[in-house]
Amino acid sequence: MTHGTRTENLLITFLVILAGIIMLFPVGILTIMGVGFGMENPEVFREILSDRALTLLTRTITHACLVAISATVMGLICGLAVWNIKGIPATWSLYTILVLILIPSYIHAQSWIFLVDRINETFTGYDFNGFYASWFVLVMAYLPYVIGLTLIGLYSMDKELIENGKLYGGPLRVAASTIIPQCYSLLVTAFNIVFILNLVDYTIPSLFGIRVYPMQIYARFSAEPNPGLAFIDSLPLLIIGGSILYLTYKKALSFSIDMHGWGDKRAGNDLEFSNSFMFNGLMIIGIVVLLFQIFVPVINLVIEADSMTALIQSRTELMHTLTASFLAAITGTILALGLSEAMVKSHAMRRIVSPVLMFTYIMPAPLIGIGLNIFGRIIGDAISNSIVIIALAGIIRFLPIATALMYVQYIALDSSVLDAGRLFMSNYLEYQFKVKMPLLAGGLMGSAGILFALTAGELGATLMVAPPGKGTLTIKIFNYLHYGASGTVASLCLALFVIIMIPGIGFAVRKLMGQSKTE
Amino acid sequence: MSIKSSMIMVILSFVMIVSTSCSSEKEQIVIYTSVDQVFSEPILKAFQDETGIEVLAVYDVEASKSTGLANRLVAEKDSPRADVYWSGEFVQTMMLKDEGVLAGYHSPNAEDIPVYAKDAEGFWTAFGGRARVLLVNTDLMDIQDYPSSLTDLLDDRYPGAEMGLAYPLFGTTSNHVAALYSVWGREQALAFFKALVHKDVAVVDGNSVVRDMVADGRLHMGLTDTDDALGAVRDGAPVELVFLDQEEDGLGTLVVPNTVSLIQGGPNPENGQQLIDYLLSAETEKVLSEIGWFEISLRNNGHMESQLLDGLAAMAVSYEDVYRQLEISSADMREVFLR
Repeated sequence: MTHGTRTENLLITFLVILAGIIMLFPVGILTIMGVGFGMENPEVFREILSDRALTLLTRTITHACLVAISATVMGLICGLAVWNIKGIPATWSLYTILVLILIPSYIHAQSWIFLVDRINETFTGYDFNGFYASWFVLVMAYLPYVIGLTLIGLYSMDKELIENGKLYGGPLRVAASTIIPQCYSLLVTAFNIVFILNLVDYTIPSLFGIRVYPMQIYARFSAEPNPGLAFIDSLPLLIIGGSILYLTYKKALSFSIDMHGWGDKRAGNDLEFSNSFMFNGLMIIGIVVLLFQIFVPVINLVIEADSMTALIQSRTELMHTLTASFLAAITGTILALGLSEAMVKSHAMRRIVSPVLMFTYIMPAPLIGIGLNIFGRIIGDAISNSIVIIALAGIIRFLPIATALMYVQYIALDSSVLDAGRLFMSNYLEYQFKVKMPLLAGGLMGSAGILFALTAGELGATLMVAPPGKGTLTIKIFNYLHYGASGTVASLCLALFVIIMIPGIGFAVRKLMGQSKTE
Repeated sequence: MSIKSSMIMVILSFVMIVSTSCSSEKEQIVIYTSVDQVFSEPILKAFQDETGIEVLAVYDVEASKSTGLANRLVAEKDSPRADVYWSGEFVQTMMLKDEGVLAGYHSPNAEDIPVYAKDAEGFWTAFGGRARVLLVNTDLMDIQDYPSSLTDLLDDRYPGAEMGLAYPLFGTTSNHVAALYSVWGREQALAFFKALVHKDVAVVDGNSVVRDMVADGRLHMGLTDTDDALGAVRDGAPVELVFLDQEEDGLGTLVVPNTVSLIQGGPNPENGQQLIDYLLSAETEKVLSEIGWFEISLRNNGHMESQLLDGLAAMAVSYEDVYRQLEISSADMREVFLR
């Protein structure tokens, strides 16, 4: 990879420093407070190993692990099914998945709860709640992420390898011997994302009455507001999350090497796998799950929504949610661009940035909220009393994912095209906007989309930092959910769903129109 | 991405931030409230519409009712953001008075509220009330099996996994614990809660979760508040309210009032007083009762708005006595339930 111009290097350095301040300051303060508190009160370490804490921790790990494994397996099946669809439906399926990724997990959760409530009314005796309900909803909520990553792997595979594999057995054998090993690093990444997001968050499990360890951190901090103690309480999650990331980090990054093959020998959907009953059965299951994934949220929310009144009364929260998410998406994507470029250009930088990203990524949501509150008091009311603080919570929590996406996109680029761009464009801005950005468009859109959607659905940190009168739709939805106002909640979820769909649909239509013109 | 679309993005972000941050030149008031958003929001909206004063609210979440917001107010004591604190209970409010967070204000609309329900120096005023109640699932329990006293819950007839309560560190449940410390003494009260934990009773994220779990049949019974319990009744769930310890000379059930206070050094004290007057008015109390937030009025000698609560024997305990137990009861409950 070539070295950039002086301006470019300065800009990257600025972005890395800015990202460092945003991410390290709140988390760093908390870490220092935690270490200090732990040294003064060593007995607190015994408390995190109490029977109660261990029970919660075991439940949290089991829950997160089951969700991650199930979502990865189901995501692979659905991904293979989409990959096997041909023509226009294939393109539509792809863009539908892109749109589904943008829907916050609690909207999926709410729509599945509505559906099962209706089933309960017909087939009495089944109660959709507890551990398995939470597991099921989270699998469905995170499925689009896994499908998206699986498809990146499938479309970047070498066609010849698959053709060769087909000589030795049926589709299932090809999948086991060629496809899965080739996509392995992305499947590991998918597992990582789903596992960590579930390990450090309590929102959906708490909806189903499942008490998990991150909720304990929040409850303890609410009862005993000591940031140092909150950090000590979070240590088990930091150690577990960190270990999982450390063990799988190299495997996940190895995909970057495979990505260099993207383009020329890309395996499309022209591979025939039609004569295996088992394989076709799995593909049908994949399509059915995907159809459920698409239609259950829409249909249920439309049926349950009671009126537009709730929406009109919540326009302020809606505006706050959109503003914070939009701000997080724009700022976070720019920071992700700078961080990923720094990581690509310098191995030393990669060694520094990667652990920081990983450390922030595994931080439980309430802990980020606590750190950000302390940070907010230092930086003053202009930020801590505005919507910016909510955007910062989203950026800190989800920048690692956005950076990883940008990084993968970055190293897939042919560096000679960038070099040519630098030579032929008349100025730096023209090079940035006419060469570099279009080449990175996929990564930019992906990072922005992920940041937007995850910030829109964030609760754990937002709850602790939201300034007076700046509550988000997510906070309101959760408060109303606890009261059982399902009609109001459905209206609010539907509103958010529609708003999130608009840019997604616009993007898909634009792509489809562009495709038909090319054809 | 073109330069044009990038510029549009930047301008759009700027406009969105400005439009949400610089809310206006309008008069404002900041209120922190632990009253369920579904009940408090319409009241605050009505105040805003009536007075033109923009209300900026921070609502609490079910899992950390009152305690989370009270701790936030303490943390902000040196540079307060809030003007008014409206709580669904009283002990955290009294703690805030001791912490020097509250300012004195005697509302003219509180004149007909009895003396015992008002702080002498005006640091807080109580109004309305909800009672602690045992909600039972009528599909799962026969009427002859209903417990009649809190201590019955320790009976072997009632397995721990079939009963629930909210975390006793937050909200009205924390008030209930402190009240039991006051009437039973620390030893008996602590032994009671330890026995509940030993039975592996379900400890959940709030009284509304207790209500849902009993209504859904995941629990046979659970301790909650009357507003949650009556909500389940209105929804047609197979549940019944059981007020414990109602026999003659019995313990009675705890009635927990709302409290409202002015914050010391808050940015809009006059607007704060205006909102307190509004909340303490008989009209607002009536509306809160009609929408189901509370059923008991402290005016007119505790007249019950709801027929269901007529004749209820309330626990004979003063707010001060309960508050005096808070520190020790909270420390014990942290030890028993969170460690």
